[in-house]
Amino acid sequence: MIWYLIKNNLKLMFRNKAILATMVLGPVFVIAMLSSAFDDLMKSYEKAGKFKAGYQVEGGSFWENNMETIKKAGEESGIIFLEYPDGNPEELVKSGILSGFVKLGNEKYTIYENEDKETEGIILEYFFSRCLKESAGQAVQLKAPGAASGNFGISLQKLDYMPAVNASDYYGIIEMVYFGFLGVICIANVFISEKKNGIIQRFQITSLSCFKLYLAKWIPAVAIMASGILAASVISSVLFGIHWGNLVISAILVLLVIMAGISFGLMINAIFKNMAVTVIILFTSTFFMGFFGGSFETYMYSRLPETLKNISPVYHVNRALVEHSCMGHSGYTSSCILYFTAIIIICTVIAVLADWAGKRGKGRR
Amino acid sequence: MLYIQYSLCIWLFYFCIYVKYDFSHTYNRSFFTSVYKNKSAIISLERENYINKTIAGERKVFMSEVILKTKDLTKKYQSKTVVDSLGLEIRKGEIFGLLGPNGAGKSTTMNMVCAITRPTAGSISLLGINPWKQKKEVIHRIGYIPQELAVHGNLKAWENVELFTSLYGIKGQKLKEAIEKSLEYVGLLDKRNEYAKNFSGGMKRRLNIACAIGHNPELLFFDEPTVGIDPQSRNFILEKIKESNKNGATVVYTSHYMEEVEAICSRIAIMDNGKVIACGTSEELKRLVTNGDKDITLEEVFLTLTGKQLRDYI
Repeated sequence: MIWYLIKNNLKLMFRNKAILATMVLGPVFVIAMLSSAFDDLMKSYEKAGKFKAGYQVEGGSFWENNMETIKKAGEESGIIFLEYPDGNPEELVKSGILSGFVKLGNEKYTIYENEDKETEGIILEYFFSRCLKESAGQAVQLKAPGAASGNFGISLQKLDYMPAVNASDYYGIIEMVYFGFLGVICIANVFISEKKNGIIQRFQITSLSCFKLYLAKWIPAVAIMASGILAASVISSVLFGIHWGNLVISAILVLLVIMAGISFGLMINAIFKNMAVTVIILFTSTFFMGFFGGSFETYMYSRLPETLKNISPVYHVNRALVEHSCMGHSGYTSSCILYFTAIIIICTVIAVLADWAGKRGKGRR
Repeated sequence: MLYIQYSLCIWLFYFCIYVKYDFSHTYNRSFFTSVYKNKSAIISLERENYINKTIAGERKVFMSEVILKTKDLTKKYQSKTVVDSLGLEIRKGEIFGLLGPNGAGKSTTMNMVCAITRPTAGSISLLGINPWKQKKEVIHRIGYIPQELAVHGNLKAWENVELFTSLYGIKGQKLKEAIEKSLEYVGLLDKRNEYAKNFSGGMKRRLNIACAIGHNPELLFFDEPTVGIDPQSRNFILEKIKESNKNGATVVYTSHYMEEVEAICSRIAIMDNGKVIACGTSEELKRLVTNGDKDITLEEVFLTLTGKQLRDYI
């Protein structure tokens, strides 16, 4: 019986041309807008080339033992580290001799940047943040056992320092993720029609379970949204020449994002039973996830705290997709799959339970 | 003497078996068929508790088995009691009218009986089953026509019927036939490929009915099915309700239109403040008010029993 429900929900969604057009043309329009707006900025990152950065190391800090490794990694990334044990960092940076300076202490490190060389400053920040955050599988590894005592080393194999991505590739990929997460919008008209016309009451006089009702919305929404994003990707790839890297992995990741986004949206709707509230919450939460995940400002050069970035699921998928596009591989693929699978499962369970509780609640009101 | 007693026992045994089996075969899913009329007469005559009542002045129907029974049915919303210890008995083959001012508790009663709204207290026996305990067993045997036009405007007429009929487990060729029968029944077969949003109010009401009868239910609940439609559509719907009843379906009907209720219902219950204040045939209700002294309309009976003050309820 669920098949007929899915089929008719699909028809209802397909007949809402405005939403379909928005879901296909929306990403293309936003990609065109953002990639042209940030094109110059991202080109400036590409132009940064090699630059000199000074450093001072506090005696006895863990940096001291690993400085050679860091210097080698820096060299590969276009940063030439020069030691200035006695110099005044501010003066050295202001004079223009150095593009940046880093003071490596036992508990913290301080980066001095030149206002005129903002790009180099951001790259320097990103480099040290990467040095600390990257774990096994990445070029710079923190040896965990000694980490607690502060007595750990950094070993260099090869630094996977993000090469400069052009604006079209970056925004062409991440906007698909952003729109993909808003997938529940395409089924909004079905919910509105059901509520407005009292169809929910009719469903109650059937043996349809809450889970079947959920699936009857989830499956067509995923199908429609996946088709929409596929169409948008093809159009944007043709128009802007976007490189997706590994197509299979990218397709799987984007599909996971769509599934998770729809599960998330359906969960909100099951809790609040109001599409307007659902849309507001969905857009707000996706905006914040995108804000911390690099959907607007590129995550590579964003100054937002790493913890906040890591909390955002959008950051994981953005990073995985962009790295697949420009490096051919990414250490974020598995975390991204885990993150989104967990969202799908948790949101599905909550949505079904909320729907079930709602029915019982309505009965007992 | 012993021989006579023995023969009587055997006869009684066979009679019981006959009644039991014939009953179930005759009444089961007979919405589109007309076997009910003849058989029911035989069975009902052999039972003692029949009611002889003229419906629409032309047809005699005999009713027997209680198909819906509520006992002390109560629904409270916080401190407000919407339905108060309601006791109803509706018999197989009846068109039972529920009359009452706004907020009297008619729709709530229907919703509780159809397992939409959970009762606060009391018991319901729907086709011999408690719908709140064995919903799956009873749900496919009832049809509910809600007051709202519960159809998708962006689906064609046949798609709407397909959607709601399929929810009762009907599929494939049977589903196609059910769609056709339902649409034909409500006179919309030639409009099957039109979108519901383009339908007039009356057509939407008819489509609303078609969506609820595709699974061939034995018991139909009509919640104000003639609100806001022209006299032709109203007449058509009433004729169809009578026809479906003639074909074996029991009907529970709520409306504000007294003449409708009087024309089609074999028994009427008048509800007010969540309670049944009077129940019987329209003649019985009229007698209740006038003692048969003068000619009176059902509306006058209704206003006498429920009062003339406005009912503003939230």
